[in-house]
Parts: sequence; structure tokens; C-alpha cells
Amino acid sequence: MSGITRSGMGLNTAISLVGAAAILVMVNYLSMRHYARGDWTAAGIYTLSDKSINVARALERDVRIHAMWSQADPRFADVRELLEDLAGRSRHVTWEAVDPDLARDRAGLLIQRYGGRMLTDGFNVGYEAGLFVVSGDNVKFIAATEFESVPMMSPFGGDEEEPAAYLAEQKITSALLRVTAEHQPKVCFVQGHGEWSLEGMGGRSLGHVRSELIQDSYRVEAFATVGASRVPEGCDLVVVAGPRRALLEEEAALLRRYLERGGRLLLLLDPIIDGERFAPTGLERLTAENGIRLGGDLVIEVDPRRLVSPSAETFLVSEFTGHRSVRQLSVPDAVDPAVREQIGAFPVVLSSARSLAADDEAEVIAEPLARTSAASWGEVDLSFIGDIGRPPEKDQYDTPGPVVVGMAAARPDGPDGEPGGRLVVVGDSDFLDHELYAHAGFYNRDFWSGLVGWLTAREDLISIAPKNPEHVRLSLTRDDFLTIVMLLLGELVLCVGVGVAVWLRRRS
Amino acid sequence: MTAVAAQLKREFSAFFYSPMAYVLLAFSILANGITFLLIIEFLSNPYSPHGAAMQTLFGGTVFFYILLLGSASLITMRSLAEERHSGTIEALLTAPISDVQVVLAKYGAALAFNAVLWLPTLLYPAILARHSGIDPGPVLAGYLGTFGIGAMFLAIGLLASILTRSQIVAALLSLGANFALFLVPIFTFISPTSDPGSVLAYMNLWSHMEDFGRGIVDSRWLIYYGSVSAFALFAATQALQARRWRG
Repeated sequence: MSGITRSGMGLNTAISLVGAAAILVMVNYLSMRHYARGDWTAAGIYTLSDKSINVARALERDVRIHAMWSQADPRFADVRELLEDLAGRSRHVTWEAVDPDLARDRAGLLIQRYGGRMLTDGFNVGYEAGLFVVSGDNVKFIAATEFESVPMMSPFGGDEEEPAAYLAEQKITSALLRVTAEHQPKVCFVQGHGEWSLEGMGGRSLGHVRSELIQDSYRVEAFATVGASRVPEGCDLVVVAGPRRALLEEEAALLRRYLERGGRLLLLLDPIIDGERFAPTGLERLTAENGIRLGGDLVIEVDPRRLVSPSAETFLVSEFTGHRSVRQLSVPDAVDPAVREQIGAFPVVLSSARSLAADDEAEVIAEPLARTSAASWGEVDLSFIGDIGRPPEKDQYDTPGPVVVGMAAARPDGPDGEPGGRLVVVGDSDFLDHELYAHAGFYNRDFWSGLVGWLTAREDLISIAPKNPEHVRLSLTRDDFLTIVMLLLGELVLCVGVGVAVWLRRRS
Repeated sequence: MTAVAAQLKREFSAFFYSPMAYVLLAFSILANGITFLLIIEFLSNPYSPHGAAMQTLFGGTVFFYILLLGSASLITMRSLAEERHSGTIEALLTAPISDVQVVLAKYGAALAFNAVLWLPTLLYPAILARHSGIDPGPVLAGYLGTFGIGAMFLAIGLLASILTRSQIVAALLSLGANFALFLVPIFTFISPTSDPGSVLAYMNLWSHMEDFGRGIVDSRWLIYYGSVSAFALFAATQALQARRWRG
């Protein structure tokens, strides 16, 4: 073949290769922009439901999702899948992953701007992984722990376990609805009677609670009832957090009118101790009218399993009822007590609390939310406080345990169908203390958010059936394990044997 | 096609006359067996998180990539390089079979042998299914991803094999090129924020296998493997043709 022909052939080959490379690049470029992802799992856990797709497509406002999550966390891969799918369904949804281990500055900026959910184990402090769903000024933080429900033992006992439910899609879609909603609910905190302050993080301050309410797309406002004729406009929930002085009759009347007009009221009422006696809160009549009597006592717990410090006034509460506001903290009644003991519970720490009781004469029926242990009681004699080293002793005047420390009442709807007011009373406000609230071992935060969620009727805004991801569990006996090992070794021996046989045959 | 099938059969059979095949198979069984025992230990832990049962087998350990990279180089290194070295390539080129058919036959045989390497792992889902329910979707997706990446590595290995007479050089070229593709995720990993649309994210084989292992089949990854394989095979065919007219 002549040199010219060879050169021509070489040029032809080169052009062919360049053309093929160009096709390769173009095909992949188009593939990057137009693709399909198939979910081959039986439960379809990576497939968005029609509800979520419709919500994404109907969005008219831009939503930005910041996933503050370690990329090494295996849970993030599942969430990333949903976020990518959502972003593919709507041009209004964009997202970014921010690994706090690798991008500290960026993570710090996000926390500074939107507020992080602090976690502590008593020694170390960190921020919880999760998603910030943001639209305009509205923010909703979804913690990583909210994406999966805890697997529960079957009510029938045994080793059966109800599978964990994967709730990510519901949480994210609800958050999209929440941050793009026209109306963002407002929580109003009463001030002026020594209540917890909304500013700051230390001492008797609720700065951390305020920050998380804002992260949850609530607006927060403080107001004074003294001299006011009505609750400020637009308050979807009014909170009285730990007053140290009694409210006046007209202030209580203001709250009563608010409640009667369908308002939502959360009263966190510690016992007000004046020397060796209990002082009134000024809200006794209001609560009694709604089926809740405030105990004039101080709850004492002596079960050592429920104490978190030498003080008998600070204790764990772990018996929650099935009321919607605390359902996530309760163990089903059908569960065998022995199994219940095995499961453990979701403890909430209260400190210096009072007991509550149902007022049977009221027209409104209140339901209990939480009870202490049978070993506890409501101490009415405060003389022990002045005697250092003298523990309180139970007598016939005290309120016998288990005592109720939280109650909820739902007033009937109005004649024109307007929703009735809701009232929750908890005999303690110290559970909102920053250290208790942020402690990873306690569920004070969950208790608070459950109460607020029920009162504002803001459980998840959309119901999407949770999916049950594959959760294989093996219970192998020693023989089973040995059989498996023998099978694996058998494969190896077979391969080696055939290889040796072939080699010997070739040699011969 | 008859010529391709005949050549493919010949090439495939030739693998099993070589001790290398059994060494490779034994290593595959050993590596995957160890991974499977890790899976069993993981699934026996009542506190282990949910997830596809066999996900660890598909890209969850370093063994997976060592096996894919190593087997692609070893399977393809003698495909064409040895024929050039020993001189038998002349007979091949003068046989009544086109260059495309030669390449396809050798590629097909390599693919088939690669499939044989993973055949022993079919025992694992069978064992798991006997003791517990198992979702077949992620298992099938995992195998699909494994063969996809394997097909791409093999095509690149075949191209490397045609470019040199030396098997060792062919193996090193193949290993180098495939290793470079394998290392792309390093650059995405050290990036503090990930842009899912980036080219590096598109080429990230680790995240591809993470998807396949969980039961997600993405058309992008399959097109990536298919297009790179097609390009490598085209280039190999061109190289073979060039060999012919260069003399």
C-alpha cells in the first residue's frame, strides 16, 4: 500500500475516532438532561406518590432545600433520591447537600441564618442533621430522626417487630406545603408575670424554643395581657409559660374569651411557692371550666429509675396516653407490661411540677396526657423545704400517685361550625429548660412540639402512606451458619478442583 | 452471525483451558464469600438499619472494585495482544470473518466469562431467601450495575489489548484507564458541596453502584456504560483495521 494511501487511511481513522468521540459526548450530554430512574424495590420506597408529584408540580413559589447532612451517613442516600426526584418534577424546587464535616463554613452560615437544632449528651454539643426547606422567609426544619418511625414490638409480644416506617416523603411534601402556604401560624407568648423570656438562651429564657418555632414556619410574638382588651390579632396559639405571679381576673377573662372564640391555649403552670404555701395562678377558674383542676401540690418522685438527680422534684415521666398530642411518646396499651418494660419508653424530664386532675363538674371533658409513677405523690406540705436534709414524707393529705401532670381539653365546635377552642395544661414549665430540651436522651422537645402541633392542628399537612423499606433480619443457629460456610467453601473447593483437573489434563 | 457465534464459542472455551481462569474464579469466590459473611453478620444484628439486604455485595466493599478492575485486565490482556505476539493474528485477519466480528466475538466471550465469575454469587440471595424474605428488585439491579460496569471495563481492556503486543502492557494500560474512571469519585468526595448535575457526579461509579445496590436503575448510568463500551469497541475495530492495512 502506498504512503499516500496509508496517510489517507490514517486520516480516515482519526476522523472516525473523533466523530465517534463527539457522538459519545453528545449521547451522554443528552442523557444527563433527559433520563429516567426506575425504582425496582418491592415497596417502591424511592418512588414519589401521586400526591407528592402533584404538590411539586403545583408549586408557584421557589423552594430551596438545604440538606445539612454528612454524606457518609447511609440515611442520606435515600433522602437524596427523593430530593432529586422532586427537583426533577418542579422547576421551583432546588436543593443542595452541605456536609457539615467537609463544609463547616457553609454549614455554619446555614445554622446562623436559619438556626440549627442543637443536641447535647451532657458533654458534647452538636447540631442535628436534617433538611432546611425554605421559601422566602418561611423555613421548615426536618430533623433526620423524623424520617423513620421507631420499630415497635408487636402487641402480641414475642420476637415479632413491626417494621420501621419510612416517612421521608410525607415529611418533605408536608414541608413544601407548609413553607409555601399563604398563612403561617403565629404563636403568642404572654409576658408580664415572671414567665420565661423569649430572648436569650440561658436561665429562664426560651430563645431556643423561639428559634425552632421559626424553623417550623411559625411566627412568634410576645405580648402583655395587663391592660389589654384582647389577644393580639392573628394569634393561632397563646402560651403562658411558667408565670411566677398570679394573673389578674381581667387577664384571665381575656384568655377565657379567646378560648371561647375558638382560640388555642397552652398553660405551663408550675406551682407558685410563696414561703411554705402555694400561691394561686389566677387561672384556676378558667382551667376548671374546661375540666382541669390545678393541684395545690409539688410532685415528688421516689422511684430511683425515674430520678435524674438527687432531687426528688426532678424526674422522668414516661407514661403517656394515646392522645394525639403525645401519641408519638406512648407505648400502645395492648403491649404486654413485660414487653413494655423491655421496650423502654420516651422519657420527658419535668422539674418542680404540680399535679392536675379532671374536674367532673365541668361541661368540657379533659383527657390526661401524662402520668407519673405509682411511687410518686403530690406533696401539699412544703415545710420540708426549710429543713435541710429532711426529705418529704407522704401522708394522707397528699395527692396519691400516679399523678397526672398534663391534660388536654377540646371545646365543642360553635353553632355555625367554627372549630372549638383547645386547651392544654401542663403542671410544669421547666421541661423547656435549654439543657433538658436539647438533651439527646430526653424527649422534652418532642413533647413540646407534639403539644404545639395538636393545638395548632398542624400535624403533617398531608397524609402519605409510609413505606416499609426492606428490613431483613437473620436469626441463624450455629448449624445454619456452619452450613452456609460449608456451602461457600464447597464452591471454592469445586472451582479449585476443576482447575487442577484441567491443569493435569493439559500436562498429560 | 454464525461466524461470530463460532468464534465466540471458541474464545469462551479457550478461557477454561487456562489456569488463569480458575485462579480468577477462586479469587472471585473468596472475595465475594467474605463479603457475604459480612452481610450475614450485619443482617444478624437487630440494630442494623433498614436497607437492601445485598447492597454491600454490590460496591459496598473494596473487594468489588478490585475484582472488577483486576478481572477486566486479566480477561482481556491476552485477547488480541497474545495473538499479535504469537503471530496468530495473521491467521485471524485472513479468516472469513470481518474485523467487527472478531472484536464482537472476543468481547462477547469476555462478557460471558465475566458473567461466569459472578455466577457463584447467585447462591447468596438463595441462602437469604431461605432464612428471610428478600426483595429481588435491588438484587437484580445490583447485578445489572455490576455487569454494566464490567462491560465498560472489558471494552476498554479489549482496546488496550489491540494496541500492544505485550500482555503485561495491555493489562497495565487497561488497568490504568479503568482505574482512572474508578478514581473520578475522589474529586467529587473532596468537594464540600455536591452539585448533582456535574460531570464528575455523572461519572461517579461509586454512587452508580450505590443506586443499583438500593434498587434504583438510572438510564444515565446504563447509557454511560453502553456508550463508552461502544466507543472502545469501535476504536478497537479501527485499530484492528489499521493493523490490516499497515501490514
